Amino acid sequence: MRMQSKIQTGLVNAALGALTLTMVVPLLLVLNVALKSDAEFLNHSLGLVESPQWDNFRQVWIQGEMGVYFQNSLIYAVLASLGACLISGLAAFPIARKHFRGSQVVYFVFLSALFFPVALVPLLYVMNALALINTYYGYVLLMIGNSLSISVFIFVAFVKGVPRELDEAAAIDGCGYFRYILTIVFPLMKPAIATVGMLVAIGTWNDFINPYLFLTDRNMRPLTSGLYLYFGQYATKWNYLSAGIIVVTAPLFAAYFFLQRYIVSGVTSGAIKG
Amino acid sequence: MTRPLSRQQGGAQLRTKGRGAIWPIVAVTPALLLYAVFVLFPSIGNIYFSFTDFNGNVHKPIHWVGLDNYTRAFTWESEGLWHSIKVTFIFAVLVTFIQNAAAVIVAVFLNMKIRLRNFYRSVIFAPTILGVVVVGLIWTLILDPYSGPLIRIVQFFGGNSALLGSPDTALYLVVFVTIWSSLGYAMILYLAGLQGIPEHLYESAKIDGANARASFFHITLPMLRPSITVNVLLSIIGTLKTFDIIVVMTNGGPGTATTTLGMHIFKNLLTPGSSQGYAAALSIIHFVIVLAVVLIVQTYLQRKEADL
Repeated sequence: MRMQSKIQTGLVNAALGALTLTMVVPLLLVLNVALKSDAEFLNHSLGLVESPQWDNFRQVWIQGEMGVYFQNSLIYAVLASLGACLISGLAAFPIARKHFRGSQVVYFVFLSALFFPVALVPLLYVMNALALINTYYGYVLLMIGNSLSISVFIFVAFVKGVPRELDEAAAIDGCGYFRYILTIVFPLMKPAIATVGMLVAIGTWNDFINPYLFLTDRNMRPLTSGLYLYFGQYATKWNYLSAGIIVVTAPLFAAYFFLQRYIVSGVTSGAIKG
Repeated sequence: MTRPLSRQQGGAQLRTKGRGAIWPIVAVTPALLLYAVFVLFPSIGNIYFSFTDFNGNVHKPIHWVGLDNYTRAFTWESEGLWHSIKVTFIFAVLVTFIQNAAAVIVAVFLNMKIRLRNFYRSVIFAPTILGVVVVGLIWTLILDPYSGPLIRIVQFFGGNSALLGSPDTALYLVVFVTIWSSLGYAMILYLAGLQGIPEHLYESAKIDGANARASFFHITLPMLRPSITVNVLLSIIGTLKTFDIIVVMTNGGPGTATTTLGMHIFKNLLTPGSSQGYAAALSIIHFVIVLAVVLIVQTYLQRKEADL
């Protein structure tokens, strides 16, 4: 019996180890190529890098105009994330407390987005008609709008756990409605804010289709578009391209390393909604 | 809807009635506005645009063309439509089946008391945080038919293939890459489901002499049914809509080997001279298909849940 369970654990570890390798090896391959010189890549494309070329990162940064794109991506991700937290947090409180007539209908409308079709054509019309194409605020507002159903859902669930006695205490003190939400409820919602914030920030950082359609100006492009276009132009410069991939992924992995809990909880809350 | 408040009458409350009643509505307004402009209007507007000759230029008048776009889709351009529907279903079925089967097994393994548990879990989940451009480019490099690492291995064993450049293999490689990038997501959801199964069920089964395999089929799987329903539905919705990873990896090719319905719509959206109204009509057809499949699968899975 003891022997059998040891074999079992061994097999389980082997299977999980193999899967882990499948997940990691592609990333390591990219890192390996990113550090090779042109000559080393041509001669030994698979071998372990011999003399790491850190300069590749500078090259792709300059040649691929990554500086501008990086800055843009950062602006989009930060603003969309802050905006989504503020706007959906404000909306979630009156919905969770049923503070206005029809609040449950509004809540249902917010959640219904999951069943709606992909609607790029009308979106193209809206973005054009409102002159939102190639503007910072246009794209940020679009990303906030897209994230609303999930973020309102997360915040409403969280506010329901905030005791109503607090509301009453605040009312006795004569605290105004907005001041109450912003100074009492928001600080209590920190975990939910971290979850929504990471979810929206990562979604925006990774977004490809919307920038492809609505941020076509080279000064407005985010990193994803920049990398995609760089690939179209320099498909043979594997070392630079790989360095570019590292530039786009490094902030994601840094966030994952430090804030894994919130990232995972954001992902799972999306499923409960489904 | 104000009933919960009147119950507390006598006690103090935030002013949500009379002069202060306006503030809750003010708080919801920005969210509602953005939602209406960027989600509600586009979703409903799709129906309208599918009956027009809208061509992407908002300054030109839009004409009502009746069912023309739908006729076009179902008659002289029906070949492209049916082909893309077929590709979509192959893609969706393969990803949904393999991903969910693998994720259940991985989750069960990770739910055991093994030492590197958290490490495995973190690494297997990691690819899910990468976006489609990064995932697509990483695998385009690895699958490159001239100097990519995979073709070296294939050639080493005496085989040969154009990989993403071959209509026979491209779709299956996209299936693999999609599973690679989203397996961790399904795994986490199944793990959450597994942690909800009470421990005493396994203990009493053990007393009754059940082995690991019997506990898996008679306790774990039945108790996991609700998680399976959610996961399978999420996979189906996601895969039936997929096109962004395909844009990056193959752009629908070679030929039309990887042109899913979503990809087909996206191509038409960007083709100059092909009306955007036509793309809208295709989106409506797409939506109806997704809705029908989801309803059928949901009814089936819930009936199985109820059988227990």
